[in-house]
Amino acid sequence: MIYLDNKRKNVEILITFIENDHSDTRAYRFLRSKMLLTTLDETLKTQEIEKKFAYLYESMPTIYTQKYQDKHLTQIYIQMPSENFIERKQQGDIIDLVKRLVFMRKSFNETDFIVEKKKLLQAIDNIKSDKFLYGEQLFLKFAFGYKNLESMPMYGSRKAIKHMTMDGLHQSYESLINAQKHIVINGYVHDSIYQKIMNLSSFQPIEKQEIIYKQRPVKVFKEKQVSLKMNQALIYLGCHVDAKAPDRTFFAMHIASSIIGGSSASRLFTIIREKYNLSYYISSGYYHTLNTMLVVASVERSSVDETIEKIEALIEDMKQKGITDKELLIAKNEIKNQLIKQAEREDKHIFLTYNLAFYGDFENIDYKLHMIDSISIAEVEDMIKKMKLERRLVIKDV
Amino acid sequence: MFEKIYYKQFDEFVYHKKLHCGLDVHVLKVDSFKFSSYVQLFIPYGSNDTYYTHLDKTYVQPAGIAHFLEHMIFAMPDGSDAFEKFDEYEADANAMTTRHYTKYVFNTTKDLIKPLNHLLNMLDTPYFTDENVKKEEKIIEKELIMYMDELEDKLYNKLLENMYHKHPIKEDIGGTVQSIKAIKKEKLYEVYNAFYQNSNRHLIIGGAVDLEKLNEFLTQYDDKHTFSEVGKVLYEPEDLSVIKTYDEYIEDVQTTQIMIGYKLPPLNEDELKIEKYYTLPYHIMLEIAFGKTSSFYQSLMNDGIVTYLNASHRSYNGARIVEFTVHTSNKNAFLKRFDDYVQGLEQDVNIEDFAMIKNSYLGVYLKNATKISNKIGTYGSMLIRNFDAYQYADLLKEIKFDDIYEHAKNLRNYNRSVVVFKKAKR
Repeated sequence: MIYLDNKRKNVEILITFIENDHSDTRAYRFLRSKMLLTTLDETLKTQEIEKKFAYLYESMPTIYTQKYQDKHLTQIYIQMPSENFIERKQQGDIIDLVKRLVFMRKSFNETDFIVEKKKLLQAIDNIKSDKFLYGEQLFLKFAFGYKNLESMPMYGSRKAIKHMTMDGLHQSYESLINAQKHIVINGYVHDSIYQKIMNLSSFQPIEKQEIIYKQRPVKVFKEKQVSLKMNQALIYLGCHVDAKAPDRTFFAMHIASSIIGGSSASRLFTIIREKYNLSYYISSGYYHTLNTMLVVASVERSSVDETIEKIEALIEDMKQKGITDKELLIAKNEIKNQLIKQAEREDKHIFLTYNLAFYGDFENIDYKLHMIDSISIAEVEDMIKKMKLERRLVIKDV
Repeated sequence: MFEKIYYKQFDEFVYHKKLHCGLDVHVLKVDSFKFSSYVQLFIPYGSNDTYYTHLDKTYVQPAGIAHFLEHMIFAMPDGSDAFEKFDEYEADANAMTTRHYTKYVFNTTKDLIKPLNHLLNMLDTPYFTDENVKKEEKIIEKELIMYMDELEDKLYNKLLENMYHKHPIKEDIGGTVQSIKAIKKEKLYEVYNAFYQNSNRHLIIGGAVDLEKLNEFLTQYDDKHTFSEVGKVLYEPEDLSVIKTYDEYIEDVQTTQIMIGYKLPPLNEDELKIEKYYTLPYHIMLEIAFGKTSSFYQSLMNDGIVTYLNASHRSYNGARIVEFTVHTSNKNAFLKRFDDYVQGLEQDVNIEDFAMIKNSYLGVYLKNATKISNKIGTYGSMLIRNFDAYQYADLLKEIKFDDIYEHAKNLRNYNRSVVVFKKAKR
């Protein structure tokens, strides 16, 4: 466990459960997170739970799920005002409520289960209303065979959600509650509250993990067009890249992506948007867990072909002529500044503290800054030379 | 030097300075920050402010001019784009226009003074030509078309269009593809001269700040600038009737989306001076009656009638709205339940829930304040509406249940408009 005794205005608690990935399915894990905060028994219904947490200064826990190699992490984040703003007793009430709902739960309510399942299915339907996100999901599915983008909420497939049962949910809860657990507390709490928190469960020391991102299989189509009712068109161009976290190629690829389309100084922004006025929104991103580079642009329907040609020409030009020292410097500075800002953000502090303890050097700010500084222009150019934006998806109203 | 204001409950200082040229500076220094500084410069001129007087002359500007000016201010007299220099100084810059203000922001982990000097220089040196205005028009046109694909924005704009006869709120923040064609360099200079002066700028700085260096810079800046008269925004009186009470469209939606807007009388000039005292009780009433802990919300969710329900209150100069956004699988059932509920709304507002929502608001406020960009953003946006964000916890204590009850009782008396986006039948 880690206890950061400081003068924060709100105290934060982060509890991490680590399960083996095969112990469960994605849909159950996601639904389970929701179900932990619903009806406990006849005496405490969902609405009362919501009211209790709202009365206790909007302290309803937030539950995150994420995959890490062959493990699955469920994180429960609880926040409450410090003693400057509320009484110690109210802080204690929050911890007691979390204990009853999460750590000492005996059952789940079937009506809530049906409601939550329905909400999940509707959430999948609603993905379409955010056209950029929908396009991104479609692209990754069509271009590389990924069913869900890993950085997205992990709803699971429609089929998996429909087939979930109460028995399965209970098994999933057993897996969670028996998992290894870690805890981080950020902010001063009185000894009595500290004891209450530590009595929630037995917490293990945080052990550092080895970082290995596995290369994923490449498959399916090269070009696809999808019709959707909209005024503009969306272009997605992408490819697998020859980079592997956490080695040097990972950092070189981040710099390459920043130079191509990561900022207002990037080639895509200055050439496609500012010089040719072809697009208002254009950017590129590097998804390191998927080893994928993606360029996204919103353009007029009549400008799709012209924009794709110009983007390809721009990449080709970078391959032929390389990048400038100034571009390298701006990109490096930009990435380093982002890292420093992240490290200083009070609202991210608890997550960064845990990640550093769990993932080790790869989350260490000084290590990352050093690596960014050490990357040469040749290493970045090498990443760009290997890049082929051969997979493409166009979404427009036809 | 700066005036130092201590807030005991937060154990924080705010450093304040008003320059002779009118620039209003507030520093929310965070000692744990060693490198990152965050800057937000607020200009209380937004998309609603198209009708105004300045130096005894009255102006009516095209819709979207505030947003257009926000784009154009990045054009530097040497023909360069101001972003280039921000990049050089390793500052991440951006800007945004809202209905009642425009703000320019940057953050950096390096020297604060260089990009701050550049930001003020950018604002002090407007450079509008026929060519660069025409070029920007094309970019903004693309931006507007892109936002036309955002269903939520489209639904909201449609609602406002059906509610207001002439208030500029009926136009989108960015204007329309047609309205921006009327924006020329002369008009941009008119707005600039009336509203972009130092006397209408509020500079909020947070994070790592060297106060001595900052003070030195501001003193030098002040010596080179003078005070100028700011324009006064006008609003034509608007009656409280709505144009259309109901409107329905076929759209590319999976579930039916509804917006309901109640047209409230706007706050008068005196009320606007203490606006937060009027708006916060309304927010609390809506949260009690329609928030996720309300019995109305819970029953609609449990019966599978809605999957999303949000209620909010917005106050602008000359306009005030209570609006509801709903995603429903059964439009008629929802509207029936909603109408019945609003008829007796005050019966569902009780003192226990009132205490609960006040606690909840304090929790949310403290949580948001841990993110520095939110903290200075909230501080600045409240400041230009005459409210000190550090008084928020005290204000929550002052709000009385009777006000909440009256607001609930009165809602049904205002005219309203409903707009529905539904999918085509197969």
